Order: sequence, then C-alpha cells, then structure tokens
Amino acid sequence: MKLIERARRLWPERIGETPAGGRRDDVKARGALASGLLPDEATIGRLRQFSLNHGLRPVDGLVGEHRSRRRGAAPEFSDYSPYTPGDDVRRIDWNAYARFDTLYVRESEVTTELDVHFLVDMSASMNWSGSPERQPKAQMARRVATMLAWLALSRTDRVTVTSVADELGESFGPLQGRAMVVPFAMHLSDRAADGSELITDAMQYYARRRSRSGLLFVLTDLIGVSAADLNRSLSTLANERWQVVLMQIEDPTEVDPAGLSSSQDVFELEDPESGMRQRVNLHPDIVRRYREGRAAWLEELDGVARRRSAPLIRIATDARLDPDVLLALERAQVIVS
Amino acid sequence: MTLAWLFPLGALGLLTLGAIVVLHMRHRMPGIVRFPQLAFWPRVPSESRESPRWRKPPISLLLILQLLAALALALAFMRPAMPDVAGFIGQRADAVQHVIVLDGSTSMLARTDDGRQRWDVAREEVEAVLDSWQQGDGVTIVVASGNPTWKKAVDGTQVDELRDWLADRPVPGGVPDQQAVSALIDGSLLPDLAPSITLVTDGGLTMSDVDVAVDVVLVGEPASGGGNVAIVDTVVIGDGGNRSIRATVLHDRPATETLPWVARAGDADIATGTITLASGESETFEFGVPDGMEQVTVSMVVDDALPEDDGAIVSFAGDTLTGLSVVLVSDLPGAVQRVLEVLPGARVEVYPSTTPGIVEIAAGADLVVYDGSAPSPDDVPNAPMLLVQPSDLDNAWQIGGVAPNPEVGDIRLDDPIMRDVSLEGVLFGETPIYVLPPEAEVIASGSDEVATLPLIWRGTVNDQPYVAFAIDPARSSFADRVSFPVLIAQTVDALAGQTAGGRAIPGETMTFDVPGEVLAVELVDPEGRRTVVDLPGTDGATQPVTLPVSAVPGQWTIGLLDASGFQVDSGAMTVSIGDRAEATLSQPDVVDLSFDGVGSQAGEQSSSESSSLVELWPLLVLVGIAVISLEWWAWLARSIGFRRMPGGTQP
Repeated sequence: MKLIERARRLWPERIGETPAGGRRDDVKARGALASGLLPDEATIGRLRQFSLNHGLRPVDGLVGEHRSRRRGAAPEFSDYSPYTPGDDVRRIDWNAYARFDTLYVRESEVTTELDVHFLVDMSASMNWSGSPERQPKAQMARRVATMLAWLALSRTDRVTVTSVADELGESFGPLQGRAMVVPFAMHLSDRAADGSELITDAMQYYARRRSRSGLLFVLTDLIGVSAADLNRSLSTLANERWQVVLMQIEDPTEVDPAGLSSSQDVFELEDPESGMRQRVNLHPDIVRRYREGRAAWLEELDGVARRRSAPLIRIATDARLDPDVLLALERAQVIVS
Repeated sequence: MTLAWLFPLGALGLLTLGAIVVLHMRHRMPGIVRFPQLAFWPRVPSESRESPRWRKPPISLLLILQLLAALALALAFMRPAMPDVAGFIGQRADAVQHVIVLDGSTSMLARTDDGRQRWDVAREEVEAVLDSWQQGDGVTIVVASGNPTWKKAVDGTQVDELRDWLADRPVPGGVPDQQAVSALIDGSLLPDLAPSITLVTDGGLTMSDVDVAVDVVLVGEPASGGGNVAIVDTVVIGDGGNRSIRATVLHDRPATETLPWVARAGDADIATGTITLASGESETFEFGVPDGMEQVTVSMVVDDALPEDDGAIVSFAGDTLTGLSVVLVSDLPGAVQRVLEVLPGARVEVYPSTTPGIVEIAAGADLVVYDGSAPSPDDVPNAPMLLVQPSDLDNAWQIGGVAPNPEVGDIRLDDPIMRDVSLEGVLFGETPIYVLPPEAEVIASGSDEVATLPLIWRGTVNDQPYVAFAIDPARSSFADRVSFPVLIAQTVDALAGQTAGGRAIPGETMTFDVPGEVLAVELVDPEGRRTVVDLPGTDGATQPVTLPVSAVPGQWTIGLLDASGFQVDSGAMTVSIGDRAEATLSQPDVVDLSFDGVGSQAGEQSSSESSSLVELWPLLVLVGIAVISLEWWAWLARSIGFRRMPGGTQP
C-alpha cells in the first residue's frame, strides 16, 4: 500500500516524468496508475471487506490466510485429539498428559493459500468501444482483473496472469504479497489487445500447461465462442479440477446497436479480428433480429455455465467497479464478506 | 411585377445542377463501421459492389439540398432584379438621391389619437427612409417651415449625424414658405442620381404638379385628438389704466361649445370668463389689464389636439434688444403715435419730416411710419413702411384728387390686417384719391358719387413692403373707434411681425442688431434648449444677428456673449404659436410645393426601369448559404453516428 500511496502522491503532477534519482518503484507505480488500472482508495476500502470465496478451490500452503477444515501441524492451535500410534510424538502435549494422565496430541488449524489465475482476453474484439466516452472492453477487463488480483494478493494468495492475443501468452507470476499488484497491473497495461485466438481454446491449453489447478478468472467478451466451444472447454477444466469464473465484458452498443449510426442507410460492419465485412442497416427490424439472435446466444452460454458450475458474470464497460462489479461478484458468490 | 436578369450569361451556372445529379448517380462505397459481433446481423438485400457503375439518381435530402443551393447561387449569378417592392431584402441596382421633405409647420405639434405628436411620428417615418440608405446614395432632409432648413448626407457617418440632427430638433413651426421649400428641393436634386422624394406631412403640404414620383407619408388624421381650439391673435387696445387685450379664438371642433378662458399675470388670475364658440368659427373676448402688468398670459381651458396654441403671451415690457424699434416721421404726431407707443414692447422715436438723413436713422429700425408725409424717391428707408395719408411718391402713388366724404366700398376681410376691423359707419372726411401703380394691392376701397378711391393698400417700394392708409385719423372718426388700434397693430404685425414687441413667430427668424464686441449670441428656449450663434464681431459698429425661432411657446431668453464668454447684455422674447392657418386641423390650408430644373431631369431618369430595380442576388446568396449550412448540418448529423465508433470510418 505504501507503494500505491507513494504513487498516488506523485500522481498526476509528475506523471510521465522520470524523477531524477527517483526510485524504481516510483516509476512502476506511476506507470500502473497511468494506465488507470489500480482501484481507487474508496474501492480498496470496500475490497477490504471481501475475500475470494474459500469454498472454491483452496490449496495447501504456508502463508495463506484462508481458514481450512483440515487439521495438521501449524503454529495456530485448534484442538486436542487422543494420541494414536503413528502420530508425531513432537505434537504430544506433555502438560495435558501431566494433568489428565492421558496422551493428547495438539491439533492446529492449517491455513491455506489459493492459486488464483487470470486469463485475460486480449483479442482485437476487446479493443473496441461503442462510444468515445466509454473505455474499450480490454481496459475494463484489465481493471476488473487488477481489482480481483488486489483482493487475492491482499490475502497472500498466489496470483498468475496470462493474456490471450493471437496465442496464449507467457504467464506472469505467481505473484504473492499485495505490493505485487503494481507489477500485475503494469503487465496487463503492457499487453495490447490485438489478436484472434479463441478464448475457449486458450483456456484448455492453459489448464493443460499448469501442473496445479486453481481458481481461474477468465475475462473475455466471448465473441466467436459457441455454446459447444464453451461446454467443451469448461468440461476439460473441470476434469482438471479447475474452478472457473467467466467474466463476460460487453459494451452497451453490443447490447443495443441502434446508436451505431443516425441514418438507416446501408453501411458495412467490419469484424476487427477477421476483417470480414457485412452489409447492414439499422432498420428497426434488423436491429430487433440482431437482439434476438444475441439473446439466444447468451442464453445458451448461461445454460452451459450453469451446468458446469462456472459462474458467468456480465460486466458492462460503463459499469463502476464499486458498487456495480463488486455487487455482481458478491451476488455470484465469487467474493464473500 | 417583372423580373429582370442583369447578367443572363450567369445561366451557365445552372449546369452545376446537372453535375450534381451526375455525381449522385455514381455508386459510392457504403460506410464502414468496425463492430466486433457480425454473427447476429441478418443480411440485408443490397447492391453488390459489382453492380453497374451508374445508378438512378437517388432522391435524397442531400441531393435536394445541394440542388437548391446550386440553383440559388446560379440564379444569384444571373443578377435578378425587380421593382423596388423588395428593397428591404435586396440591394438596389442604382444609387438614388433621397430628398425627404418633412413638414415642420405648427400643426405638426398636434397629437395623434395615441397621444404622440405628429412631429415624432413624422421623424420615425424619416428614420425609416434613412434606413433604406445604401452606399452611394445621397440624402437631403428639407424641414418645411416659415424659415425652412435643410441638411444633407452622402456617407454613413453623415447619415448618422443627420439622424442626430433630426432627433434634437423641435418643431420649427409657422406656415411653410412655399417658394423657399420648393427652391431647396430643387437644389437638392442632382443630375446624376435618380431622385427619390418622400413627403412626410400631416396633409398641409402637397406636391401636385411635379414630374417626379413622390412618396407621400401622411401622419396624423386631420381631425385627430378631438379637434383644436386656439388663440390665434391678441391685440392690445388702449393705454395705461385703460389698457385691454382682445383675444381671438378659433374653434376647430365639430360642435358648438362654451369654453372657459383665463388671463394670468404672474401667478394671479387677472380675468376669467367663458366664450361660446361655434364649430369652425372664431370669436373674440376682451378683458382689461391693470396698469403695471409686464406680461399677461391668456389661455383657453380646454383639452385638445394642439395644446401649445391654447394660450398666448402678451408682453408689455419693452425689450431693448428685441423690442419693436419704430421710427415715426411726423410733423403732427397724434393718434398714430399713441397707438404705436402702446404696442407691446415698442420703442418709438419721432422725427419731423424735415429731418435730414432719415434713411440712416431708420437703418436699424424694424418699421418706419410716415404720418402725413412720404420719403422722397431717393430717400426710401431700408425697412418696412407704414404710411398714413402720405404725400406723393413718384413711381409709387400720386394724389389725383380729393373725395369730400367717401363711403366704404369693398374690403378684403380675409386679409390679416383687416381681421376684426370694421370700417362701417366711419366718417372719413376729406380723403385724397390716390392713383396707384398696377402692382399695388388694394385692401379696402371707398367711393363717392364720382369716383372709387383706395382707402388701404399695400405694395413695395425699392423692395421694401409698405402698407398705406388714405384715411387721416385726425379728420376722420376712425381714430375714435376700437378698430383703429387693431388695424395699426395688425398692420405692424404684418410688416414687422417677427420683432413686434419682442414677439417672435415660430418658424421664422428673429433679427436684431447687437454691439460689435459681441462674438456669440445664446438663445435658450422655454424648454431649456440652447442655441449659440457665433458672430464675426466688428470694430464698434453694430452687427446684425439672426436667430431661428421654433414652435416652443413661452418666454425665450437671449444672451450676448463677448470674447471671454461673459454676458454683456441680455434680452427676451415671447413665442405664441397660435396661427389661424395652422390651428385649423380639420381642413388645413394646403401649401402646394413644386420644383423644376434639375429635378425634372432627374424625374425623367426616375421613369427609366433600371433606376427603380432592386437586385436580388444578395438574397439568393443568403438562401444558398443557408441551404449549404443546412446540408452541412444534415451531413454532420448523419455522420456523427459513424464517428462515434472508434476505428470506424466515414461512409
């Protein structure tokens, strides 16, 4: 936090300058802040009330802060249990033996850490916004990912981020400790959205590449993804014991394209990924048919996600992190207070 | 209404219409908008890119607006022009000389039905004409009054000055001087500019016999404001304690009515009464004036259209500066002298007929009165003259005989000097029979058994006006009648009216002599308006000064200023604006103006077509620009939808 606070103190007057003799951390922090990814103080205050849902996929570790149902050797006392042969004799409580004349073994609560993975879609379709007043979908994905990363890192979870553009990119992490949120954000801000890899394929490749499963946040617009693709991908990840959270970033103009043009003249739509064009107009009937087709597609995706127990959360690019996104995450029980 | 095309070759510009249509017939690539999700868009039936290069002209708002803009500009290029009905929207083809004749007579003080003065309404009309001024035009405003004035402008700055000049002017008043106004109009017309003459009047001015088209703007209805009642004349009768004032009231209202009147001296009412007045008639009332009064104001208590002429001021105090200066040449001064001396403000100097150098003595006088004598042909004074039973004057009149006791014959009752003067029953006694030159105008004549003789006549000698009486006051009974002082007073008014008794006549000028060291004369009217007339100054000798008098009733003050601005002397004069001709609002006396010379040449020009045409190209250019703006706006609004897309391109 000190790093962030220092960065905020420097922002915005000296942003863009490299201070003479300045510390490297300052430059990094400014870079992260310049990208506008780090949540603001108010949002961080709210985030402190939440943690990622422990029930999703905890993993043993030394420094995790998630409480575990498992008992074992750890500094944190939990309970006594009668000694049975095979127990570690170092765990016998001799004071209890002196008092009760029975051998008891000290049971401790095992704290766990969570492996949190972020797969961020950086295909060309994510570099799009329906209005100059709104941020592109990729930027919204970066901001949401950074916010969740802060939440994970503040609980000393292990965070790994990977972007998907033309292919599955190099992973950045695992990161641990809340100070690592700045490198996390800088990594994301360095990634331009310009590619065409299908996110569901990338999810499968990613799961296969990791030796240990965890909680996987997939931030994507799901453009080009069919229900079958998603089903296949989620099936693969489930088999690998991954818990997947799908966060679909969408622009309001995708939902209602009536504002694309003020006239009903014919014009051509160009897919930013494939370069394909399609001649359309904004006749009300055409727009209606678009909405209906899109709604059916979303319904199919929802059905697949439900069947595979993967929360599917839709986030509009004009939504606020606090409270809109936090509320959606809480409602989907991705975070708990 | 015909439309003329001053540059028909400009029709080539219409070719652009075809060019625009051809351009619209070309296939154009549709606009491209980046959008990440193509899957759910149904395909629309459209022309493929391989469709023919040309298509039917698409009827679109854009095409229509472009055609309209091109049409407007092409028509503007052809310089359409039409008669001056649309002057406010177009530019006149030729410069014109605006001559605005503004009626400045006393009747312009009358109120219209909405309570405004006709003068104010008239000035607004003049402003409207000035608004039509454009570069190259000339403007002359002629204010028609007893002493007409004029001012001209040839550029924008001068037009603004003209507006200021007009805004500050009170009504000059008086009866318009027909000849002087006509001469000013004539002099205002220029041979190289088409004339545009506007006459702004309340009906008292016309231009019935001119070749040029005159735009007559009438202000105020003839009988507006409830008609008018005016004191049109006051005569002082008697002397000292026997002095009285006879006032004449003109009643220009539709019904007979009895109206109160009041005479005041200072703050005290010295006489009051009522008078019954028939419609269109005038009546007199008379009241005594206590001795010692310096000034009496007599007023009708009435609410009418022209309140300024409801009263009149009679001043008894002689004013050395502006008072009436009378030289009486008489060997036996009697009744004539007595009457002259009681004229308000009069200063009478009496000289025997044998006095040498009468001409020099009379040089500064307002009036020279010969009682029983006449000047010699070489010794005619340079001043108006009143002659009472004069001796012979060669080339003017001779005594051809004597009528023992003539009776009254014809009398011109409409003559101003005969107003309310009755000669009936007068015993004239032995009266000379004067033989008059043809140009003499007989006002009253008498007769006996053998001959007809002039009793009162007027004429000019050496360009000086005179009025002569054949009647001898000493031998006739006339001097014993009230009509005698009335006749003398009215005659003096007619001959030297503008200075009689410090009374000034609106619309005229006040002329008097001031000492040589005076370098400026300051005139302040009763409303506080100040006029300063600079003088050249002379070494010791007196110098004449002429001051304009406008129709502002009341007492005016005059200050004589030396080189250091110090007031070396002061005087006063009174202005009463009641005038028989101007007070009659329902049937005004019409002054018909005419002019010729350059004006007639200009009139010929005005009949030509080109001078009256107004070019419409500025209007069309405006339309074109407006349509282009509209088209631009429409295009912009249409393209905004595409521009909102990042990465999107224009269609």
